[in-house]
Amino acid sequence: MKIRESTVDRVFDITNCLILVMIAFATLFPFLIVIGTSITPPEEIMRKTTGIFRIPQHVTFDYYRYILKGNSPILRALGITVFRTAAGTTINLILTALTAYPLSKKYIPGMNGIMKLFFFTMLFSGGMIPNYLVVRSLHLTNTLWALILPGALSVYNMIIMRTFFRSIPEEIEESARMDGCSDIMILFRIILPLSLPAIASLGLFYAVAHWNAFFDAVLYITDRKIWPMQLLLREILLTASVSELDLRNALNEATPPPSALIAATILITTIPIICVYPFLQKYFVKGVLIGSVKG
Amino acid sequence: MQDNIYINKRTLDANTSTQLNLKIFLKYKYFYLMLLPGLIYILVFQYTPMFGLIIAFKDFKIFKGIIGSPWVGLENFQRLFESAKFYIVMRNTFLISIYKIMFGFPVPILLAILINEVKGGLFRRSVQTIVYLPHFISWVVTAGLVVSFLSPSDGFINAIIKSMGRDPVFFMAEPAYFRSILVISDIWKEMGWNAIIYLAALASIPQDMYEAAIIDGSNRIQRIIYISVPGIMPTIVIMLLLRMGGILNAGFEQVFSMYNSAVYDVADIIDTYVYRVGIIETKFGFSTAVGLFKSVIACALVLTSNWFAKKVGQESLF
Repeated sequence: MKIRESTVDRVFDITNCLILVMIAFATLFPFLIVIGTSITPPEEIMRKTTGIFRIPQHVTFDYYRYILKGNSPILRALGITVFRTAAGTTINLILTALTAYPLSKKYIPGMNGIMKLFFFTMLFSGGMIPNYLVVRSLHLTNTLWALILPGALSVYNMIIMRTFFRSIPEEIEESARMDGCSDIMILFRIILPLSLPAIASLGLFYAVAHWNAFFDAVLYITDRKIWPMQLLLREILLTASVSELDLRNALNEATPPPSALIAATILITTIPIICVYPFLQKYFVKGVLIGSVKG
Repeated sequence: MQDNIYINKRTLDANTSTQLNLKIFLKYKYFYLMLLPGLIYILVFQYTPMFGLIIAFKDFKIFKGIIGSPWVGLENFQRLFESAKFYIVMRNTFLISIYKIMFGFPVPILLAILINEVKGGLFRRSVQTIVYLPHFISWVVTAGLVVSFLSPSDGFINAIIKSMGRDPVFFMAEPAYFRSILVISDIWKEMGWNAIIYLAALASIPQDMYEAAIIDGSNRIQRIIYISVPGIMPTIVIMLLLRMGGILNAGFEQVFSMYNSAVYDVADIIDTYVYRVGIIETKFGFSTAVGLFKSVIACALVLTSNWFAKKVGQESLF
């Protein structure tokens, strides 16, 4: 049955599309401006055109080259962030799987009580200062462990993983057990390979959280040599100067305009997220919905 | 499986028998072993800090330790309630949260309804991909985008202001604008992400309701008002309740990456206050008291709102 669209409907459709295009544009606009600034040659920035839009006439990647060259603090901070993301996510996933698997077995005595112990930490926590004192008393401050261990397990993600484990038929495990497979072997040889989609999506969530985290570094890392990227960027924004970038490298060159260097730094911090974003998008809707059912 | 259930029942019947308990423990020893790292983690990094909360009732000195520091009863709390700063911080927390709910809460609902009206296709997917993106960007980067967008020297907004012949405004240091900047940047960052749940709710409305309405001669706007909105109303109410439960979380990372001393009076929230007093001024006992005050109220609010949400959820099922 084909129903003729009324005029109201057609007007609605066009308006709706226009509004959505505007929303999408507004979402991208701040990025576009920063991208523009980061590739505009210094002469054009200095010229201070009175126009509102500044579309670069020439394109330059000098700012990126500049902030990434030699032993620049940005390169080091990026290295720290890459390390914490890789090591942190690995530890996150191992701990999440190891915890979620036994807790997914309702029939094992004690699991319900232990689950409550985990669940309670989602409702109530010691808060900033007691956490800080614990990390400090373990002598983790100013080590990269301080960025990895205090958040080694997200109970929320663990519950998602547990839900996934429960959806795997028990019979598969039973038959493996008959064949003489130990419980630990079952987890690594059967359950984890079957859970790869869940592991991939949780891994991406953990990795993005690590990449974006900065407040733990504010608390625990005072040594600038091991500052992660986000913290360095925050300092640059806060002081609105690029003195952090160690301009001594460039005494004999003209110093590039700070706004362009800041723009390039913002983008370097963001590009890895944009790169994994297509993969993230594939999984996160599912993640949000599982979470909402549980929460 | 049979075996498991059998043993499980027997444990319940005879849980006094330690011998049997030991047998069960041995049977499942690898499962308990797997739990060990996770248990150690929550004991060290979750429950030890909770124990550490007792310094809220102590005059904590770092060299005396948590146990050795003298008890002072409720002195820290008394000092807190007597300080003028406390009321400023509470007001800011509530105001920022309430503004975010008032202006930010309806946006994802409208966005979901608009996206839902586009049927399939590349356009819909592109819009979704774009509006979800900012959720994955850190608050520091977002602050960077905001700062350069509003920069007095070469920001976009000030370029417009200058082109009208006015003086540029240093928005980030202007108390009159700061809360609006927080609310707008929060909407920009999270509207797409928050729309996902409403999109799922819209997708679960039975299609035949729309078909019946089409036959009755309704237009698109009528279908939105009389089918879509009532269809997602339970979700809206639940989300609103949950959001109210988190009213004390005004967005710590956001405020922390955007604020500066020029706007402390309008931007300082409980968490940023705890950070500055605790970590910068090292008044550990006092700031723990502030944090505990917040945690307890927040926990009560979350439990209450969850309870209400559950009630609403159940009723809406029938």
